[in-house]
Amino acid sequence: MLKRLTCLLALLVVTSMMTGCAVNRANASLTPGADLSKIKTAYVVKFDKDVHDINNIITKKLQSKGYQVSTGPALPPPYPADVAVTYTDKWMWDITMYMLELTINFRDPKSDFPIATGNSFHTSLTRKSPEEMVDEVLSNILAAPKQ
Amino acid sequence: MKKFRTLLAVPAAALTLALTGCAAITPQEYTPAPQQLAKQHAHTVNVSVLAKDAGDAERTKAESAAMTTALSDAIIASKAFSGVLKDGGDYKLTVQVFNQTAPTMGFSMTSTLEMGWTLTRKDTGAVVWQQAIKTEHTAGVSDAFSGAERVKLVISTAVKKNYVEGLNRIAALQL
Repeated sequence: MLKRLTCLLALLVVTSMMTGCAVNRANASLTPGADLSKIKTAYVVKFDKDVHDINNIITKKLQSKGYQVSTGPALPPPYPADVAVTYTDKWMWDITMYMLELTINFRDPKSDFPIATGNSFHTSLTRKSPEEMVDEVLSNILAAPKQ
Repeated sequence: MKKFRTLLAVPAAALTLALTGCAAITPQEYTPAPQQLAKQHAHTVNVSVLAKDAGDAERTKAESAAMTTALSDAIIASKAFSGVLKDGGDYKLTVQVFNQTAPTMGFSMTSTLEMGWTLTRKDTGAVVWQQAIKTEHTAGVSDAFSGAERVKLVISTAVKKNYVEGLNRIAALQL
């Protein structure tokens, strides 16, 4: 009895030390004054820690929305496009690997200042495919109201 | 025995919930220590910080208010500007969270942050300075035993570091 109680308490202590806050969300916002309607071309900057080729998914999705898109490594500004698109992806393991979080930024091609940002965060039980996450973030960014 | 296990599950669950709560970060926790700046501008400023959208309008609004209060207090304490006004002022300082990662679990937790800083003249609306600043902070069990407290610590410290860097860059401006 005492042994079982000790094990349970130990499990609770470890759990309390390790766990934080679980969140499930998707949102996007623009910098005050940003106008995405003028954007026709984009350069998707490949995230150097990305091993899932998310840049190609973002490129294809933007192309399907009518943009002329190229992709490649980070370059010294100014980027050869109306906007530079950067992203960070975060993956977790739960039976299989899944994309936990995706953040996409549209940046001024000269100053690299973010003009729009979108984020999607889905934990394991509500996981989405990378294509769905990219679609969700880009759609939210392009639909975000001007400030 | 089965009944005992079932009964034990109730206080166990309550204890876990108590230890892993998601309490909001206070303005004081976001405020960095007063800085010795290279220059103090003889102008007044209106400050606005836009927090990352938390998916809950009220929570995002509260978070933005806490972060705005913290930056305003930091500006006053370091005398980066001659005064902080709720309305009006010579300049408007808008700081927006563009990228922010918050850890969900782990003994060592890291929060990364990118905030976009924009300083605008109130009379003309001209942008006099605009930069994105990236900071991060890592904390281990020795810094905060509880996972929830460690999350708050890394997030708030990354913000404090960003504020310090932003104020130092503003001090270097010729206004």
